[in-house]
Amino acid sequence: MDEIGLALSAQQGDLNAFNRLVLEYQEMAFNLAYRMLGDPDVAADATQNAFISAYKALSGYRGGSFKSWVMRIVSNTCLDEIRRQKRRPTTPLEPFDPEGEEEIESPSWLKDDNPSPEEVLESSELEGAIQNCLQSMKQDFRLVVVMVDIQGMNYQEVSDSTGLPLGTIKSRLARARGKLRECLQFFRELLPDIFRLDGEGTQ
Amino acid sequence: MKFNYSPKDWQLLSNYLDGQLTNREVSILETRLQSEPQLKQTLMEMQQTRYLLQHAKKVPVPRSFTLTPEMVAQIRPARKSLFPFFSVASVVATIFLVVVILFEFLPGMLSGVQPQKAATSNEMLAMEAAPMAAEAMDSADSPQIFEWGYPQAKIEGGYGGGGDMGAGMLAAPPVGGGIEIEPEMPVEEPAPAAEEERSVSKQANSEPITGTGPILGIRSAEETDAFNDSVLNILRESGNEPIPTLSEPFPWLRVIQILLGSIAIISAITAIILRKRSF
Repeated sequence: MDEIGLALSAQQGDLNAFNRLVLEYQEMAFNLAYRMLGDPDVAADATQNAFISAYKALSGYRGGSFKSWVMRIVSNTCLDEIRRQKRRPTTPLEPFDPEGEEEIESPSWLKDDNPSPEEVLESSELEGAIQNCLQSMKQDFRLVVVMVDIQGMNYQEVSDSTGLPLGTIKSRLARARGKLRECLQFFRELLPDIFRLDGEGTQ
Repeated sequence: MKFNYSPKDWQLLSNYLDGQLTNREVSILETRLQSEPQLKQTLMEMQQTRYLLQHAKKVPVPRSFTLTPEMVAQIRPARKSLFPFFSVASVVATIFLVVVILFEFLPGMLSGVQPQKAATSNEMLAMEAAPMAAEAMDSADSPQIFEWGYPQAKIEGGYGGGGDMGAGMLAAPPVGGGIEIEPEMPVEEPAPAAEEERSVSKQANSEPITGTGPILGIRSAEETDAFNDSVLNILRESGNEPIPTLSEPFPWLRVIQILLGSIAIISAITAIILRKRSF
């Protein structure tokens, strides 16, 4: 896919070209938003807003990596959302069953991804542990570690997406990994055996 | 288990995992890893953490985020960025500020300041010379006469308020609150040193002093006349010239400088903010 060609076509008003770019990067954009915001609905809204912002700002695209450009818009949208949440904190409503008039404890019970229950349990707990650890760290560090370790972006792409120098990326990544290492040690018992840190065994 | 490594060590381990170290740094670190089992343990834990994150579940996209023509129709076109305007405004204001500052210090442009400075210096000179001139004129009318030939008066009555000071109060009438001392009162014998001083004083003041003297600061008649003439000339000249007022030459210049400086700073900050917000 010639993303620069598509982007230039989109600049000329070709909506299909822009939507092809959206389809290419929407998964990455949504996952970044989800890891940053911790809520799938809020992340979906942020992703949609980010693509709308990208369409509005297409005239500002000056070539180069479209991926870095659009991820920068997504990360800025997420940071704006985090700031907005800090200004106006909200209390989530409990899911409510209108027929039985009983509260549903967690809508995650409704999910059926077909793997075995043990795997689901392990996976969801591991995911929960990772997401809790990510949410406990500062957003600047979170953004870098999500981009590098979860999204698989290289340092240069992260630098282009965040506007930070490479040295800052490296130092923030090192600190974020150090914090996650400690945080995930706390959740050690929740980790599957293959990921369990072999601290006792090696000493 | 926690190990206290410096941030540099953390960054070294992190860069090592991502292959960001040079060969030399890698060899140094690997040597350390062999000798420091705790560092090796930390590296392994960081590696496992990184592995966990890399294999974290990708969350499926809940819906498509493509834009429909209806959505695009509702999107108002993005306003043209004001960044170029503010950046240019900042640069132009800075240039004008520099020009205005240079204008203030250009000697040709400040022609109004020169006569003022000259007038001010003349005025100060005249103010300095005025008491001296008055003194000189007084001396011309009635020359000062210093009479130093009456040491006895000083000795006998000049000390004034001494009260029972002794011999000096015997002949002269008491001045300044001194108490009259009975003549029969025995007079104390003056100290030898005081006697010697008195004799020197008598000898020195036996004749009136005339002429110049560096201690008294009295000028000779010729010097006084020359000085008086020069001071009177200065006074005459300065009296003929109009003395300009002490107002600033360009009071509006300072206002313009402040305005330009404010515009430059505000537009620069706005441009930086707009630049950061633009994607």
